[in-house]
Amino acid sequence: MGNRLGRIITAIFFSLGLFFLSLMTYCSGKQGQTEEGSNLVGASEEVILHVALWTSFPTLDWQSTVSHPLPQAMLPVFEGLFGLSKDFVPVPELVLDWEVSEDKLKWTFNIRKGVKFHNGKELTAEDVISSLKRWRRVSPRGVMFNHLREIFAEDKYTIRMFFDQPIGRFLLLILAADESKAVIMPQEIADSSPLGGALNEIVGTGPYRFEEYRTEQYLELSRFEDYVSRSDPPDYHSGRKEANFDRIIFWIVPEASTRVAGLERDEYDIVTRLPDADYKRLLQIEEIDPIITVPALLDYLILNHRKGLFTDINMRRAVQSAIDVEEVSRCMMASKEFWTLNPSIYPPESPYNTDEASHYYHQNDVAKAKDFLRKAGYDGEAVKFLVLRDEPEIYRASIAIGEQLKAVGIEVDLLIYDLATWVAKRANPDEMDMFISKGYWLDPSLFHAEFGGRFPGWFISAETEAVFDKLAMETDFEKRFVLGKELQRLFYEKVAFINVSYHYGFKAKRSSVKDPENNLSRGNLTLHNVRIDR
Amino acid sequence: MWLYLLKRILAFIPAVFIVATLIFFLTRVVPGDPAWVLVGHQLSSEERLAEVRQELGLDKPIHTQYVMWLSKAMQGDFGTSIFFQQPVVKVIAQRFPVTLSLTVLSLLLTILVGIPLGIFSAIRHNTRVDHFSTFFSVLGISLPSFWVGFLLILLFSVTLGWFPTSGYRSLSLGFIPWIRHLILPVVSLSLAEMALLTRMTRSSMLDVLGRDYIHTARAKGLGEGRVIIKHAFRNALVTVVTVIGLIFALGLGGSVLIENVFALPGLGRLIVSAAVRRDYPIVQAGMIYLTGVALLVNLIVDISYSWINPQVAYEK
Repeated sequence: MGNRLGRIITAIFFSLGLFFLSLMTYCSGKQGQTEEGSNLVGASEEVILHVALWTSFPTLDWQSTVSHPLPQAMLPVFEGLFGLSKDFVPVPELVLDWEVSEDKLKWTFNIRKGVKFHNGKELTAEDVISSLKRWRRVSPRGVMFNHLREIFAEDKYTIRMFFDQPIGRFLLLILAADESKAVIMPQEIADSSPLGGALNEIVGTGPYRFEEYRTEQYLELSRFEDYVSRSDPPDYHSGRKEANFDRIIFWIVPEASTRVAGLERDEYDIVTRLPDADYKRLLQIEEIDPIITVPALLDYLILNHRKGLFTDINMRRAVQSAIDVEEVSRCMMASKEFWTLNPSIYPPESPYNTDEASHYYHQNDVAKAKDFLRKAGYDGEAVKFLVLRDEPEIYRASIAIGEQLKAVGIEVDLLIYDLATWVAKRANPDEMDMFISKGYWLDPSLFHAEFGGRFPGWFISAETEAVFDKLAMETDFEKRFVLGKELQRLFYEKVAFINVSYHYGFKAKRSSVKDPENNLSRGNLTLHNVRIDR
Repeated sequence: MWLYLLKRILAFIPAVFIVATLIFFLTRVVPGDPAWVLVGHQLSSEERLAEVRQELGLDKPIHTQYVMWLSKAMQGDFGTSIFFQQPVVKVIAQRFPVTLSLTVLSLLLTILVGIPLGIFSAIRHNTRVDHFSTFFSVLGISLPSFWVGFLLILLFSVTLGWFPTSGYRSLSLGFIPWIRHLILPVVSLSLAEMALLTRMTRSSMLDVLGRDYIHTARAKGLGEGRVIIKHAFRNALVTVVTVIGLIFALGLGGSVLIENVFALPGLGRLIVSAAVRRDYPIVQAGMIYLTGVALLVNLIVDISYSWINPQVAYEK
């Protein structure tokens, strides 16, 4: 009887195995993206681009948030008056031409005629005005429009803006930046969605229209057949745009290893935000193209200028002298391809990149650092170093810097937190002495938001404010470049922050994905003109 | 029995109330501002943040927020998710089928493999089968499920191309797409559960098989199958059912690691990410749900004891 029981149990295992094998046999004949029953895979003649993103979207209201990866999914849907060019300078998108008065107080924009929204309505000046008014109110960057006194439609296709203070070319960059972008939507949607984060409808003028978003699963776009493209040559966000896919599906895949596996298996055509440790392996796979993205991100150490040890310039200079940027960079990234030594506060890709005051950069001078500590009368008080757990690069940089500071005699308390706690702690001058953040500033004026006394760290000085004022009014690049150098020198001398590394982003695509304009290697995903040659 | 049931169900109310209250205040004690998470920018002006807090009702005193939330929750309205801008009940309802599918399938696999293997290794004590079962159990318990998940993806998805690497398809889209997307997560998840159930079944059976009534049954000339199934396994079942209940309750809470590895939009991922984003309404409702599941499964397990062993009576 015991044998009989054994046979029953064996039969159970055998049946399980058989079921599993049958399923595998069935499934192996269903490779690729052609599974039956799925609404995500259409007719076989449809061309669908599958993109794997790393996290879900907090909201689909691009105007109201700079949270990523929203720009990746909304760039094909929305357009602004201006976009960014290949060189990251503002170029017209919905605008046809514009002019500015001599005193730089009055700006006039003529928009393109015949542009259609996804709901079929034609774009007019009233749509632009409502959209910009909404953006000014709900966008975290809306404060940059503080000096806008009046905005009105001169006719159906002309918008005029009057400012209290002169404003230079920086205005165009404000309108072009793809973080919480000043996108244009129909007037009735902008007016009926007064609250940030709660857009009634996702309707833009871009080459793809929004179809569906299932939280933490996917976001789907489809080709907008009535898209009216510019005719000038493609130029990153602007120029001629071709929608080569019937549909684009952005999948939310939180694990980087799973995104890579999906790319290898040809489930995804493009995968974003990969660990640099995968770079060399992916380089060996013929069907996969790893992509290093520019511009480089500046990793910078912020010190508390309002309260505590670092209100003393000698303490700040001690830290500045102690940092070994190369060591920090090597700790942050596994491959040399992903970091660079550069003394500028503007990324290497910015036209403002300069080596002004570079003797303050990457000093790695222990004796000098100790000398500054003596001058400051440092008594061994522990430095509260807030460390963000969720960003591996920042986490590793913080650990490296902590060790470098200990080596010169600074006591460091590494306080490791999740994002929400980290943000709350760093906003309190009593609970923060230093932290690392990252970002890129392609234009000197963009620094003002962070280094005008409002951002944690609370750096502000009369000299830098004077430079920011001149920058806001200046339109000539050569003169702005000189001001940009001046700003960099002042930042170094006052130790507004410390440049601790530059690192690059990493995404990858299947070789069958063709990107003639090389858009995928720049900033956020720009999918127009990208195609698949199966 | 009915009186016992009623008492147990009534006891749910204070338990859920205590958990809800604790969670409400604990989430507020932890530093972090959902308004900031929603706006998502370090430069957001205090005015803008204050406006968002007002929109979310977070500007009111904490006790006012609590009373408002509790009175609505008692009517089944758990509020709106700060992050998703959707009713919490709807957000949880969207995730529940994923977690339920994963839990039921992994439990099924666990029972189908764990119990027979446990029984077999007990009746073949100290044989090769038993050694294999022990090895399998130690392996299953030792290997982290997310790591097993990655290995399965590498082997069955990337190398062999049999299953998709990630994602979820609703059962409404068909059985095959649904099961295809769940096989690897289910196997990853159930490996440790199988190991646990195998060990518990084995030790429980070994204990029972040494009892006098088993010798008596055999002495009476009963067939070995009848002795094992009717006399031994039935008595070992109390431990087995307890373990199954535990696995089921834990499964319904969601498995954040497996859900992350396989990009499954389940409840584990939802609740953990809500805690990270300070999405208070989701965390609160999620914890109430988890408490409810734990209490309900415990109740079902307790009731099943009286069915398994008639000596267990709840009337007295």
